[in-house]
Amino acid sequence: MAIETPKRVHSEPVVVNIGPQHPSTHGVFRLKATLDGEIVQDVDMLIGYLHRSMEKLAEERTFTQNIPFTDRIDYLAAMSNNLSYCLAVEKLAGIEVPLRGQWLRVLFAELQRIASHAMANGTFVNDCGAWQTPLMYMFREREKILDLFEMTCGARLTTNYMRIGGVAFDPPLELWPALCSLLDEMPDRLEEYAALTVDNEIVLARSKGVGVVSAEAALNASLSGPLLRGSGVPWDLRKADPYCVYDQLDFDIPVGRDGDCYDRFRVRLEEVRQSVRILNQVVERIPGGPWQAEVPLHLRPAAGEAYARIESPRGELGFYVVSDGGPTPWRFHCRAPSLINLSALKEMTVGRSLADAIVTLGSIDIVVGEIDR
Amino acid sequence: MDGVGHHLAFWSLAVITVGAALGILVSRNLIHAMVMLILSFIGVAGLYLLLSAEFIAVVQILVYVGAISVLMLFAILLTPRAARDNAETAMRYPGLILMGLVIAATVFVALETDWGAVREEPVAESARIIGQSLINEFVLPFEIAAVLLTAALVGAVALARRDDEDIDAHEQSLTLEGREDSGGSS
Amino acid sequence: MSAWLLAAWYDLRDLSGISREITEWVASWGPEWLASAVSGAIGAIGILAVIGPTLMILIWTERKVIARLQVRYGPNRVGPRGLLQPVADAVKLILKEELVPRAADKWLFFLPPVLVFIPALLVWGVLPFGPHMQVADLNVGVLFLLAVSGTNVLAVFIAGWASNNKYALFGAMRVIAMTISYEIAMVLALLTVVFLTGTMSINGIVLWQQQEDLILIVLLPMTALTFLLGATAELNRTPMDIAEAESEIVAGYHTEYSGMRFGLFYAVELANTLVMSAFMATFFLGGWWLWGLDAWVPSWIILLVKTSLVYFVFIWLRGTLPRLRIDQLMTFCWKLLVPAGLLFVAIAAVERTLLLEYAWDRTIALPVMAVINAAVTVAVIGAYARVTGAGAHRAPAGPRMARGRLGGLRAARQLAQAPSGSD
Repeated sequence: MAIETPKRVHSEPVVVNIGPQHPSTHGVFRLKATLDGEIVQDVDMLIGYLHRSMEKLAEERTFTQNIPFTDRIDYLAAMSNNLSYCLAVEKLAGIEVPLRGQWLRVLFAELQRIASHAMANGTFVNDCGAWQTPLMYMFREREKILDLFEMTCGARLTTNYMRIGGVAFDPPLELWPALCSLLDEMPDRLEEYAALTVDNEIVLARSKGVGVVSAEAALNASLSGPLLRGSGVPWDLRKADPYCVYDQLDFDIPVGRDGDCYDRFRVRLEEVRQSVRILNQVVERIPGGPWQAEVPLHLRPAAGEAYARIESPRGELGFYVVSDGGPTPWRFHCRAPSLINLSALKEMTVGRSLADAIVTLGSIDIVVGEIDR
Repeated sequence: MDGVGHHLAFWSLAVITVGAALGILVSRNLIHAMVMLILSFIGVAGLYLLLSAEFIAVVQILVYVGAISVLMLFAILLTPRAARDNAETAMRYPGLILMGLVIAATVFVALETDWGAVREEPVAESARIIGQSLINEFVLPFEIAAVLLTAALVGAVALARRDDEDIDAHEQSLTLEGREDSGGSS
Repeated sequence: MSAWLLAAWYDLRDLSGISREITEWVASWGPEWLASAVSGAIGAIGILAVIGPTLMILIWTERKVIARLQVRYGPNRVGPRGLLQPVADAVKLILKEELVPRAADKWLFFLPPVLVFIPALLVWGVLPFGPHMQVADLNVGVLFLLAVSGTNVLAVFIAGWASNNKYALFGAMRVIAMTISYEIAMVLALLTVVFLTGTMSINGIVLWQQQEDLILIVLLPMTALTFLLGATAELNRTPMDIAEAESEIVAGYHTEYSGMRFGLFYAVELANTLVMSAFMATFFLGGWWLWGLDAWVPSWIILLVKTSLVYFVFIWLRGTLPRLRIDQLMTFCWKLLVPAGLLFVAIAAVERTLLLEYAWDRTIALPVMAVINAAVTVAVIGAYARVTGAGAHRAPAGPRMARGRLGGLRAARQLAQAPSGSD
């Protein structure tokens, strides 16, 4: 029996299913990776494990009834989703929001941004291999923010707080001292995060130069949010296309240098600092008055279409709503930043090791509820 | 070598060693055979220990169990389709004959040798004595072995190392094609 | 101290007295082999009696300390202060179904949880708890430690291979590659110690430290560091837990193990950590000896305290540091630890010769050597940091601030070219 000897050492690529149940896919997301040893040759992103048919369901419910759906699209930034959807409907129906309502929206959207970025950065360092510690530190502040949400609207995660024409409730009086003490301690806490992670030699080794996206590639892939800014493109809808009262507030847009995972991490950390800055201004300048416009419960906007977008913690979050004059939207669509940001994953990971791919995935900060809707 | 303990230890170790060695032959699964081989190594180490050669016993574990078997496992894992069962080959009967001859020779030698058992007390610090004799009496063989190993090491590195062009080609094959395999050695 | 307290069987400072009494009593009527069997059994039971409860406490300690590092409470529900948590964990694990994957290799899948326990228990045999409290004072104790703890790899490999799971196989491959490399660094570290002390008996190393009146970490800081990191690698603890990197390969080699089989892996991990802490304390912190205090306090309590200190360092590392990538770990081992280890073997050889052959005055020579070694350590680490570009001089630049210049690619280029003072 002749044995055929191969001329070259032949190593077979291994296909590894990362997910849908995996500690690092942050939900039920499946990454089919083809590996040569530890090197990623190809990744295939398989989504749909959390598909709940939100967009179709929304066509059967009235405009107001759809607000709780938006909570569940990006369950880590429910406030932002509420806000974006309400802005779209208000644009469609031509509703003016009272001033206090607008300020309250900014207040809660920014609190939500801090909470979401705390989660994103915490899990990112976890993906770098830390044993939960940075996550726990960042969760400490997230907990306090969620407490503020609970005080205001009774829910911590799925807030359902924004309403078409304003917000549901004026926050209780206890909120303000709690918020002020949180804002007072935030700079110290931020220093603590930075001390733990920013100069950490291992975090640097794991994330610097990993998962690089150039500015051109980021724009071509239509990335948004910290990913786009991490790649060096100064683009933030709060400044570029201001909504609510962001044009009256003073804050800066942090922009990364190299477009790697570390830059995204730093951009998020800096955005938290800027959000604290915004919140301080909000606490000082928030006017009194009504917080909700008079809007009929069964809103029937005139036939037409509207798209409203905000800068959610993950990027450009837009809602596209079409009305045919009836009580329910004729079409309801969500431009989810996670889904579009995820499309750059392949480019970032191929040719690098599996460990880098995990870190890169962590730096994108996906929320599977938003990807699958 | 007398006393119940010694006999008990010797026979159990002998059974383990020979049984595991038989297991290597019988097992068709390469990894199973490896595990048996390791067990056999451990049995041999136990026999050394019984002979009061602690140093040799520990080195047996360190080198054979800790290093060589791991090396073999690596080699098995890196060989494609190594985990499959060994099929019957044409070499089966020649191998059987060869094995029979080896066993016969070993048995013959074992029976014919005059096993003049050493009646001396075991040396107390075998490691120290081995070390001293390596440095004094047997320094030349020791050095020759060292040079040989170094040469082997350098040779292995030279063989395993790819030229820069190859590395570039390798990286390109990773990013572009993905499937095209790069050569192992130049 | 009155004579009746010294070295009697009830002397708490040296528990070997009891063992000796029993062995002598057996030898007085029984055959010789029975006496040695009894003596061995006492040692084994003693070790098991130490490890069993200690493991229970360790599970609680590790969880509690990690929790404190992570600003949370940790176990506090089961029993007073959560002390019964390990019992609850064990009960839960025992009651859980033990799954065997259909495609797994049935026989080999069964072996590893048992196999990992053997080296974890064996290495305790050469650990001196006191001047006479050692099950076997092998004159090749150091080699024994290396040999036995090295066989752990095999069990891990078999676990990874038999599971027939890609994550498990990745974990197994990683652990082998890493352990072989770090074992070399560890061998060099221990070789340095052996060179300097001139003995491979572990008790002998402690006695040398007692005789020279210093702990070895002072004399050989780099070696102690190498040993600590090598132990971290061998134990698969962060920052070197790539073998069971949770975020990458789920649980590495024991991904497919459930129930008490996983529990055994978990227990062995802690037991190994404990034993490595104990050896770290023995080699570099003086073991059971503490500047004469061991005459008053039981030596095993001194060892326990030192072990706890080292163990705390392990927990601290785990609670603080992220994980390195495998190539970075290999670089660290082969480009820093191994060359530095070789350097220190040479240094130790020279120092030993100076002390022995040239009979230098130890009271002067040893402090001078300690200073020199510390300086060399700092120099070596500094040089490594400089070569690999790590260290403080690579303090990363934070993000730039875009003030008003928003836009696409053009704005991005403008911002990139702007003087760095804009942030």
